[in-house]
Amino acid sequence: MVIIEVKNLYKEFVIPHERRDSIRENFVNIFRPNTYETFNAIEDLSFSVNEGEFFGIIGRNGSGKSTLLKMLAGIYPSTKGSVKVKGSIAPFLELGVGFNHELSGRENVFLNGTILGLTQKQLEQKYDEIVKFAELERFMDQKLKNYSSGMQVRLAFSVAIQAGADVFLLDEVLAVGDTEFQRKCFEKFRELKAKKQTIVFVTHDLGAVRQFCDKVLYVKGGKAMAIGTPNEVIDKYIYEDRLEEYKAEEANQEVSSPVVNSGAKEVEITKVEYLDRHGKNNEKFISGDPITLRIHYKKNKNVTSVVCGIAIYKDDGAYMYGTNSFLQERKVNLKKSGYVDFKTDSLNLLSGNYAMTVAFHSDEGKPYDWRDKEFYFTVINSSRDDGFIKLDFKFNS
Amino acid sequence: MKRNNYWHLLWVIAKTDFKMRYHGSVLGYLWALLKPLLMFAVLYVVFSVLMKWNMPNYQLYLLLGIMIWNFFAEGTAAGLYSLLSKGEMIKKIYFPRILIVIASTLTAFMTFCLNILIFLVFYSFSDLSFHFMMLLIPIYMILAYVLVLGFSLFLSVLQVKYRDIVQIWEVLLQAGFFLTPIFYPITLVPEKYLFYMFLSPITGLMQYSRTLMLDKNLPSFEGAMYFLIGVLLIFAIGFLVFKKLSRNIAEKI
Repeated sequence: MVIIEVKNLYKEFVIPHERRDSIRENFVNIFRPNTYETFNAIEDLSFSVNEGEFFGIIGRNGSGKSTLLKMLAGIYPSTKGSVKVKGSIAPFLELGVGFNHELSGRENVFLNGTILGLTQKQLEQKYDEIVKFAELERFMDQKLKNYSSGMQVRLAFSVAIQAGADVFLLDEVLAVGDTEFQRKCFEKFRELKAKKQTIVFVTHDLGAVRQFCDKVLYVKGGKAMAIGTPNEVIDKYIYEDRLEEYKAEEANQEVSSPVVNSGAKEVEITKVEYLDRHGKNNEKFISGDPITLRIHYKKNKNVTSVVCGIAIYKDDGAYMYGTNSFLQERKVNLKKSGYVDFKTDSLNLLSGNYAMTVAFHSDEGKPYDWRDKEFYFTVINSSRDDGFIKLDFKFNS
Repeated sequence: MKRNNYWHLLWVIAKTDFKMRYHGSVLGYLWALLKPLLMFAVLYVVFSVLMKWNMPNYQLYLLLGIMIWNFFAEGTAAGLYSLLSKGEMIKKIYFPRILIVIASTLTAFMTFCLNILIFLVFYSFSDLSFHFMMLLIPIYMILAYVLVLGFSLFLSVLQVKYRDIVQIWEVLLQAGFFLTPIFYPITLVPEKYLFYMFLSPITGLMQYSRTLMLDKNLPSFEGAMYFLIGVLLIFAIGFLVFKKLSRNIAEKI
């Protein structure tokens, strides 16, 4: 069932050249009409979201994502076109809407919860759960102004996730906060996804998009550039600017890039894990830390030769590094199922988001299972050096 | 959000506003009640003791006038700022914007209700006795609220568009304080100006309330009609202007 339907949506903002927001200014300039320009934040956008879908919206800064979300939430009226939403909406463009610093934590739960559409009765029932999730049992009677910002965010998130609406609108603001809080957010997302909650999700985090979304919309300059499965759309998003270049290159060179063919799954990649220096699953690493890439596989068919390889790309598509077992002159011994590791003692990347390709293929390059840029991780700089590669030049004089 | 939840939201916002307004002062809500009484004391000393005006039931006449005016002035002032002060909320979530204006004027209305209770206490100590016509008081109060809401709807959206409305309104309120028969008897006003005074429904509200409370009487039919139409007209204008201008209010705040 279609739950959100957007048809030929337009949003035009009028930007006056001179801001006149008092009667005095308007009166003084009565014979000098103000000039203005218009800016099309959304242009001819159409899409629909089905019930139970996790719908992602990606796009660069200023592409109209937030305007679109505000229009879905009914905060901005449309200039032309229509937005139809069946059922109730809980927008989380920001956590803790209406929080009042002079009130106690308890009072704020009821205030914020009401604004998000919960009834008094629901709030009373869920109150204990909210407080427990926020881990703020001891502080609920204190004024909010005495809370640390982390405590406030925790409280706000705990209330927000209790909101029972047909559609959740999540802006990227949910992904701020410390790593622990993000982990909690993502855990909750997984839970919501499993419960078939309809969610519209705006973010820059392509890893999250690939992980959660069933359908993705890519917006640029207020127009829809692509709508489809995460793989197609993210590819388009990453390569779009380069597409022209690539076409020119391809025309010049007859050499075709390796065919991206996902393979017949003779050897199937079931899971890829990143292990940090404590041997724990993680998606974020500090540059210079050891990292282990653990590739879980299942052998569906006996094959004569196997090569396992990885390639790492920067999020703008630049190829950073690649290796495989053949290049390292190692033989891959496969069991019925199990895992293989690629391990480095020092991850010599500075900061950024990276995509990784993992593949099993034959000696001749025939792919068994080729997962092109399907895995993401983030590196956090440990020094003040700039760039992408950790080369550790030391100054001397 | 579901429709029946809006009433709950309205109530919670109004309650929070009421709590916040007198927050931090030890006397708390008492301030809301003391303010008109203090004003009453000053005006009473000036006009009754110093200027030796003599008119029956002047204390009650003056007190009722001040309480009604106080509600009008504070209600519209709160309403005027309501949208701007809730700007963050308006930009982040959707609910009918009118709830904000209703909630903030309701806060003033709660104070008004307490004030009227105090008035009735004073009334019970006077020579006048309670009579059954006073059962109509709630209707008068509701009309007073509709009047305040009408002005607030109009002012609140205009304040977002023109930020100097608040200054203009302050001057108008100041003038209104003297042009409305709050502390002087309306009999002092020459007959030919009376029509202009009653152009403002607040004059009608004040006079007819006094007629009810002090003279135990109802306004004339024409007077009542004239007043009712005035109130409804102001509310209708306020509502229509609000409806038109509040559509894209989130972009303007």
